[in-house]
Amino acid sequence: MADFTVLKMEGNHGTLGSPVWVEVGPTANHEVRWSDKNDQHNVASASWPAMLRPASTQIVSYTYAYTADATGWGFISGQSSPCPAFSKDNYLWARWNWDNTGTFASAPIFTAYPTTGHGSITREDGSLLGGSSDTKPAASAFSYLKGNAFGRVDSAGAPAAGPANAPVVTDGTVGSVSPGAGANWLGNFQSLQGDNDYITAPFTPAATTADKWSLEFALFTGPNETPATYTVVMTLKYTWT
Amino acid sequence: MNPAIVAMIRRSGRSWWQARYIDGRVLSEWDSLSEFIKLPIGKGISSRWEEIPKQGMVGLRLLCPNGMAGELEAPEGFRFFQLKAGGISVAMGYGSLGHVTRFCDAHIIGVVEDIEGNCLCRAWETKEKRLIEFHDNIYHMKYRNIGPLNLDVQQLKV
Repeated sequence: MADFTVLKMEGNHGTLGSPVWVEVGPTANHEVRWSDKNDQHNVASASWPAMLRPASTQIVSYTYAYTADATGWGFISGQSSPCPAFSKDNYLWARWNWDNTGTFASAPIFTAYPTTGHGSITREDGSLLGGSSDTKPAASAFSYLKGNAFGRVDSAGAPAAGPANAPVVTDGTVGSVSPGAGANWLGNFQSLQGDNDYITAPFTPAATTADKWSLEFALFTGPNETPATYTVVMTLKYTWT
Repeated sequence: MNPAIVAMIRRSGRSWWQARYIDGRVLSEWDSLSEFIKLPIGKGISSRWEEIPKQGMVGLRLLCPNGMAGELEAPEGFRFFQLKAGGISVAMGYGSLGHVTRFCDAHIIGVVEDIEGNCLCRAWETKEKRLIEFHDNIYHMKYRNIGPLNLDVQQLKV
């Protein structure tokens, strides 16, 4: 099967002017962590502070890219502390990055699951991805995890600005949404909720061509989220020939 | 089919495509591997569907590791497509368990039946370990939320 030899998610713990891309997940403790504290640089996982469930919904402001159990910097921190709070204008936030060994057969999909089993997610079950009344603007509860994606691959032009709107806890559209093809982000962030809500690229990347797809993601919490130790499995679903 | 080949396919644990041409030729996926040994063993790498001749292709089979096979037919070439549906999962917050998982949910073959893009498909579903048949449309594949197929990659002429 002509799948990709290299396909990875990367987060930027450098700056917008000088990005430093860190691969997420290839080895133990090579991971993304979230906190409501901005000073969690080089903190061992055993000492990672719990976050109290807030009385009202709020964004979990600080995102860190760890490369070892006690080695990590904040996203867009310039490898310095403190970690800056999430901003939609940090447009070189994360990306999917693939080599030239595979061929996409359709447009890739960006979403998230609670485990690598990729099981179905029940809306409004109180979990991080299922959401609750906190994340329910109308009939459907969306994920606490929001995503955005750019409308073209980096070889056609990497982002030079962020999305129009900052994410809010009730953002989401049932099913698939796609940014406009070209230099466009989604106007509003999308709920990342497995096969329920996801982002579909407005393009099929060129065959056997290395490239990148730029992303942003932001995590919220609220008074109706069930307290737990949560893990998230960010997923690129795609087809190949 | 040669019993040794059948045994190799069973042992490989994956499905393989096999194309049949109007002049009687048969081209198997393992014939197109870049590896030195061209047999249906292991996972197989770098066999490229887009480089396989479509002219005169009148049959496409999916040979499955459970011993079953699904075949599709068409009166002329450039009607068949083949793809795998899967992805990559990146665990966040897994700590010492942190890892990246590549997965293949299904190996799909299909034949376009009309100018509307309606198609008949067969798929080997890897987790369920079963061969299924379904109808779909190449302009909006509902199966596993695939969406529109890239016609250029598949060299489909509809």
